[in-house]
Parts: sequence; structure tokens; C-alpha cells
Amino acid sequence: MMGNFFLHFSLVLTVIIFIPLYRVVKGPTIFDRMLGAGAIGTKTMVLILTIGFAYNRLDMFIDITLAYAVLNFIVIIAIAKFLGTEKSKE
Amino acid sequence: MNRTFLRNTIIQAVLLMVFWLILSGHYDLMHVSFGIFSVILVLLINHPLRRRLFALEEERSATLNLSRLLRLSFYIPWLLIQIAVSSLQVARVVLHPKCPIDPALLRFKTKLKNVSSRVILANSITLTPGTITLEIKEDEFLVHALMDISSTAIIDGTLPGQVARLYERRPGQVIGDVEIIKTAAGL
Amino acid sequence: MIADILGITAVVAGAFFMFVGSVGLIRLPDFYSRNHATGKSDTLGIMLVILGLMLIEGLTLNSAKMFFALIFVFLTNPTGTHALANAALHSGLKPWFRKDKGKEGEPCTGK
Repeated sequence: MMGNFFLHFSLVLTVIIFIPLYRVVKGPTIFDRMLGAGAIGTKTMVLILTIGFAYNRLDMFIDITLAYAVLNFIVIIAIAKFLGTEKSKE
Repeated sequence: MNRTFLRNTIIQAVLLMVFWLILSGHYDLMHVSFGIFSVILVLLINHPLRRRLFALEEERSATLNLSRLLRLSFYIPWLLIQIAVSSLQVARVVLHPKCPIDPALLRFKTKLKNVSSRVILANSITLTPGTITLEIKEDEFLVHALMDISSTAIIDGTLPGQVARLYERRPGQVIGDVEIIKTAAGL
Repeated sequence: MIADILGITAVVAGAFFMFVGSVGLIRLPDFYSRNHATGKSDTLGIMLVILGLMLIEGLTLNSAKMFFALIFVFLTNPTGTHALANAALHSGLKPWFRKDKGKEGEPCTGK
């Protein structure tokens, strides 16, 4: 019963993750796109965790989650640094 | 290399080792020695950065002691409640059919000297209702407020009070000279 | 059993806040307002989901690792938001202000 809950929950989560994709595709400035990408990244972290619960292999997926979180943070900081120094709007 | 720096290094090494032990989950000789090797490597790579940060800390109040931990244990639950309140506020704004927002910029000065206290202030501003930090330039903060600025924690004085209590200061020393900008020309 | 119920409640509440963050990213008018949605609602949503999963898992090593993930999100999500907002400010992106004061009924359209 519990595994079923996690499977359905990860389906709902996938739908939630798809919403910011609109901002990534449409966004008027490059910063909007980056914000959407960051939001997708942090939510994907939770999705990986939930999939770990659904498949009962949490010991493996938790490490992937931590690595993904660190990677996502570094990407956002690096791109923000790059965009902040470059004097351009879109 | 003075004694406070050495003590900080040892505390950090112990924390990193605990982190390694929890993440690895194996406690035989090989994995633990890998852990010790990694801790030493991380400390060596971080050493120039940590020297710079250490030199930046003008007031030596940032070191951990018991009364500070006690005050932090009062501060963190308050911050968690603030996060819940601000998320509910954002939820109300977003799901409201008319979208009742009224953005404004706030500019103020702080008298907090050391770097970690300014970081705590900036992160707290981002997490309390209605405000996010945009810029920190020396002692000047620029803050974006989403709606009705009079109800934000900066104006009604709860956030400066909490941070002041954390650093044993008066609330007036944390935030002063508040200036409200409501047009794009004021930047 | 009680821990399971509490955990599922926290997970569902977290999903609601993540949904609010996603919708806010689309509905709010400008970049700086959208930062509010990701910086606050998403942080709370992810923290609640991980907390609920910790309650379901119980007191194990995996639970401790999830606690690290929770602390990490709590520290880095506002920081990443701030870094992006700061970059936008430095490259000269102007915030959106309400044009006619006192008229709350005006819908907030992008740009």
C-alpha cells in the first residue's frame, strides 16, 4: 500500500515539475529561464528521493539525491556569477 | 596561525569526519582511513579561503560557545515559524484570483560588523514574510518587498529584534535609515 | 502507524507548497516577484516533503542522510535565489511596480 502511495505521489510530482518548464521556454529574460531551471532542479531532487521509496532502494537513491542537490546549487551559483559580470539583458 | 584559528580547524575537521562516517555507513579500517584522507584534502584545499574569511571576521563573536548555542536554539524555531507564515502568504497571493501584489524596494543600513552575522541577516530577510534580499554592498542592504510593506518584519521591528537578541545588541543597531523606493527611477 | 499518518500529511502539504511555488513562477508579473515564489514556497515544500519521508522511514542511517539533505536545502535555496536576483540587479533588470496606486482590482500581467 505504501509503495503504491509513493508511485502515485511521484506521478503528481512529475506534473508539478512540468509547470516551471513553461517559464524556461517562454521567460522574457535569461534570469527567468534560469530561475525556472533552478526550480526544476530542486524539485527533481525530491522526485529522486520518492522514487527511491517506491522501489525500496533508498540506500542507493539518497546518495544520488545529495549529489544532485550539490550539483544543482553549484550550477545556479556559477551561472549567476557569469550573468552578473556580463553586462547584457537577454 | 593563532589558537582560535587552530581550534576552528579542529572543530571543522571533526564535523567533516562525522559527516563522512554518516554518509559512508561502513566502519572498517579502509573506509575510515579514506575518510581521514579526504578530510585532510578538503582542509588543505579550503585553507586559503578559510584564512581570508578568518581575517574578515573583525569581531570575534562568531566562535561557538554555550550561550550562543542557547540563543540560536531560540532563533531557529522562530525562523521556521516565519517560513511557514511567509509560504502561506505567498500561497494566498498566488492562488488569489486578483493577485493582490504591490512591489516596493527598501534600502537600509546595518551596523553589524562581521560577515557571518550579515549572512544570517540576509538569509533571514529572504525567509521572513514578503521580502527577499537583492544586494549587500558594504553595510547597505537592498530588499525587494512583494506586498504591503508596513506588515513586513523589517518595518514592524520583529526581525531586527530577533537578530539583535542573537548578537547581544540593541534593535536600532541592526537596521537603520530605512528608505522606500516605489519607482524604477529611484534605483 | 501514527508516524506514517503524520509523514503522509507532511508529504502532501509539501506537495501543495511546491505546487504553489510552480504556479507562482508562472502567474507573478516580473522576475523579482517570481523569486518570492521559489525562495519561500519551494523551500518550505521541499523541507516538508523530506521531513515527511524521514517520519515514514524512522530512525535509520538513511534518515540521517535525509536530514543532511533537508539542512542543505534550507541553507542553499535562499542563497541561490539571492545570487540570481543579485545578478539580475547588476545587469540592470528593472523591477515591476504597480502603475495606478490604490486600484487593487488591476490584474497583474507579465511585463
